[in-house]
Amino acid sequence: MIRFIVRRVLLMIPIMLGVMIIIFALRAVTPGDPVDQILPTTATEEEREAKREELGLNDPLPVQFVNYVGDVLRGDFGESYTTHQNVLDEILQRFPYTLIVCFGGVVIGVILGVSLGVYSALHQYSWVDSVTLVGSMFFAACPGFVLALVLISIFSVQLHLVPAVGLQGWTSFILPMICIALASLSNYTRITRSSFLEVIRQDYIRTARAKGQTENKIITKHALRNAFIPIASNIGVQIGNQLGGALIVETVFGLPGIGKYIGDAITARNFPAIQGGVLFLAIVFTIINILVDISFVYINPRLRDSVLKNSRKIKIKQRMQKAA
Amino acid sequence: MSKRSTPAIEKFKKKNGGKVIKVYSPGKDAWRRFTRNKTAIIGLCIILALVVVAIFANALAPFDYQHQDYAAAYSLPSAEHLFGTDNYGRDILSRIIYGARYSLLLGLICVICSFLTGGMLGIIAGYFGGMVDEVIMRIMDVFQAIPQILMAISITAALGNGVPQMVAAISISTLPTVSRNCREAILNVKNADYVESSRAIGVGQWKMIFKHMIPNAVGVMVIFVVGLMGFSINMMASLSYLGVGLNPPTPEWGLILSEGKGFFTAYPHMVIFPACMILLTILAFNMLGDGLRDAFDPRLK
Amino acid sequence: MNQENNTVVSVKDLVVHYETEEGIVEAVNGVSFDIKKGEVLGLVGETGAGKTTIALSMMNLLPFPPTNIIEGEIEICGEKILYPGKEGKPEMISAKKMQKMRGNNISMIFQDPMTALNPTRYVGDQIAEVIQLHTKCSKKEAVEKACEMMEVVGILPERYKEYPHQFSGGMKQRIIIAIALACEPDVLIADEPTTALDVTIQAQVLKMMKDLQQKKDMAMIMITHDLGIVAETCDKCAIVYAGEIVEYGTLEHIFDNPKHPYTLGLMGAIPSLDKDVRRLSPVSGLVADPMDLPPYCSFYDRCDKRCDACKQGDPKLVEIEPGHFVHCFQCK
Repeated sequence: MIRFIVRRVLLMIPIMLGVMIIIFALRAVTPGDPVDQILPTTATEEEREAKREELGLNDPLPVQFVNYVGDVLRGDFGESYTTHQNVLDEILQRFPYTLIVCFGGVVIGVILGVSLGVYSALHQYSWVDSVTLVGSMFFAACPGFVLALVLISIFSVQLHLVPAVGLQGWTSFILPMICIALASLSNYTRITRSSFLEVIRQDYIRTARAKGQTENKIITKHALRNAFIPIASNIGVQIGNQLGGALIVETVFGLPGIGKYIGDAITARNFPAIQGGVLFLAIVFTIINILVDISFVYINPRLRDSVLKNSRKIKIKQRMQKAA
Repeated sequence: MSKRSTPAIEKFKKKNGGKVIKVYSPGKDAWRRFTRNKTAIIGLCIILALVVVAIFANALAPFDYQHQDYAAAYSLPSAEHLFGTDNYGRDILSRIIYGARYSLLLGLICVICSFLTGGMLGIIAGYFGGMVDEVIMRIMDVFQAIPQILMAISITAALGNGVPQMVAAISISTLPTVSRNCREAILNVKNADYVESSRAIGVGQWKMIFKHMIPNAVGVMVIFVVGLMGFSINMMASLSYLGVGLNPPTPEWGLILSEGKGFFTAYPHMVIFPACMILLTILAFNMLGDGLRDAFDPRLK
Repeated sequence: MNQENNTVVSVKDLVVHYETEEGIVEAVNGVSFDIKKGEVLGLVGETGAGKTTIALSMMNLLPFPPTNIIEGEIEICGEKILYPGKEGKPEMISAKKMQKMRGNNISMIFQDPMTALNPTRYVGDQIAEVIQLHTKCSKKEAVEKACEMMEVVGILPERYKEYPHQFSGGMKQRIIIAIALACEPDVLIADEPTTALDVTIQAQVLKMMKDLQQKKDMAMIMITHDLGIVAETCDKCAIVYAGEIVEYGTLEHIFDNPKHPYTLGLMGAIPSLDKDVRRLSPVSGLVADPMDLPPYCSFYDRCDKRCDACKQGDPKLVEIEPGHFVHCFQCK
């Protein structure tokens, strides 16, 4: 198991390297001179040239890339064009807000979504099922910013229950969280419903019935865990979507998380901030996926077996190589 | 004819012209299930209506989408301006009607580009397997490490606003999902017993791909394309909303909404109508996709 | 069929239809049989003859919809599972009562061992579950009993904490048998228990089942399409065709004195070592479509002894010698 985790973490290295290549490539194809963004328009050509030299923009691209990777490894994500602060520091300051909104929303979404999904699968074709289906279809289709605007107009503008934009105490988190929760809720409801419907048609559910097991226990003891396998594998993807969704939600609600940070950076053409933010979220997303993978191995015994067997095979191979 | 006559049998015979059995071919069966699926039909109707609107935008729109009438600026929905006007006095209904062209056409272009890039990669990876598969899928792992909307935003942020930039952004950001889905579809077909058996009787490689594998993967692909269409339209609107999509005064729905959001509290009609259109269109594609999935998947009868 | 005191299973005039969009499947069309304690009845027939439907209606496990039980009575261990209600519609035992009976009074071994076990739970726990359900015992006792059961079916109790995918098909079937027998039921239904297994494993599993059945003196229904299995394990045999029993009798009746043309056809399709036959004689044609059964004898279209009289109506099951019943106009 440890071997599996280590391998999974090691696999992160090439992926992160790839992500850095993409980010770097995007910077390289960006038209225009970054120096124009940093220096005032009154700067002389000498000053510009000096700045270029300072930023290493005159080096050949591979050298620039190696420097970039070195900087990132040292925790230097670059300097923001607008605030002239270290991007990583700024990001880390804002990360807790994104964490609360995103994870809070996804957790609410998972809990409600799974329960709703199971309920509507058990009462297939009932009115609750139809309402759930229509509702989840509606919210799945609703773009984040539309949902956010609707929520603001109802709960802030009309009802004055919560602040519309900006950070004014914990109530400011409610609407963004609901926004993320609704988006992931609709997804989990649908996945849970179809996966549960599939599972309760399986032979082993009939076996459990033949044992004389009660319907409730059949659901909790036999169906849920099996139905959870496709759900678990989707949680990673969903969190990724919601990390991206946070960008829109935070921008609409003016919540100072990483999403808003990137959003603002885009408007200001603040490239180090955009790249730093994207890289940071990519790292977070990859770590989450590793955690999901590990928990997935615990849920699905078949996978656990193959993981253990693989590591055993590797051990045997290594031993054979040593002997040879 | 039957052993015994029950009310159910009589009812069935009456409905079926005295016959006891109704036989459907697989294609007809799928079609029947599709047409009986209300959500799918509603979705299809909405999409067809939108297509008609997009094609005949010139005839249908009461005003030109760029026509500015400052005297009528900020007017609420009325008989003359059904959806009201915006801050420049442009008729929102007309802009939305012309916007249908952008959403549908650009959505379609995005899907085609995604398939030409991601789809081909996935099909190649799935069909050839081995080293090719490994390399392609590891590269896709890298792309997948960046959440889709972030990827799209960083691309448009780097390349600037405009149609080709946005198409590139959306097709690159959907690359990992498209390639994975296509690969899976091909793998499912490739490992199916009927492919195995046709290989055994000596069917050639290309004949195999075109006669057996693609037709059988088409169902899955169609469902996926329809879903991708909705996703692309969603993404386009989101990008435009954030200011990294198309440039004003293009009547793209996300852009109309974005331009109106500043007047949201005072003149909600400037936001509500484009928002409804975006929602309706995505909903229609999702409904159609779901309906197709149910129709193609005989297990869920 | 005569009623005696030690009859544990009694099925009378069972008619079951499945109502689908393509038509109405007449799966079971008036089946009656009794089984006494310690007796093994073989239900033999082709795929789609309605054997499994009979078994599932005894377990009360048929899916509603599409199932529609038209009529019939089923009594197991003195408990009426299915009985005529008001308005001619048969009524079923309450779900709660049935839950208590399943696994305890009546158990079933399913056809496909590959899918019949929960892939995410220990095999041992799956045996212990049924024990805990029907006996008042602690978890620990249930685990001990489950280990005992594993030993009985020939699997090392050390493998209690393993998952189904770590077992071979034959071993999974043994686990399923252990689950079915854990509470020593009065009636055991085995639905093609060996179809999915290798021939060598088949023999082992069959022998084990027969031994356990004799030891516990259970009534058993062996559903199969293999007359060889019937010859090895059963006391009585019912040949099922298109949802009807076409011939019923002891092993001697069926094997030494088959009367119904379908039974004769089945016998002709068995390869024999002692007779010098060049070609096997299969039953010609296809099994009757249960969606489109004729109002006369269902076997008419495939029968090589048919005559015009056969088209006049549906024959009754007639006793031609004590304990030997045949469903044919020609056999009197």
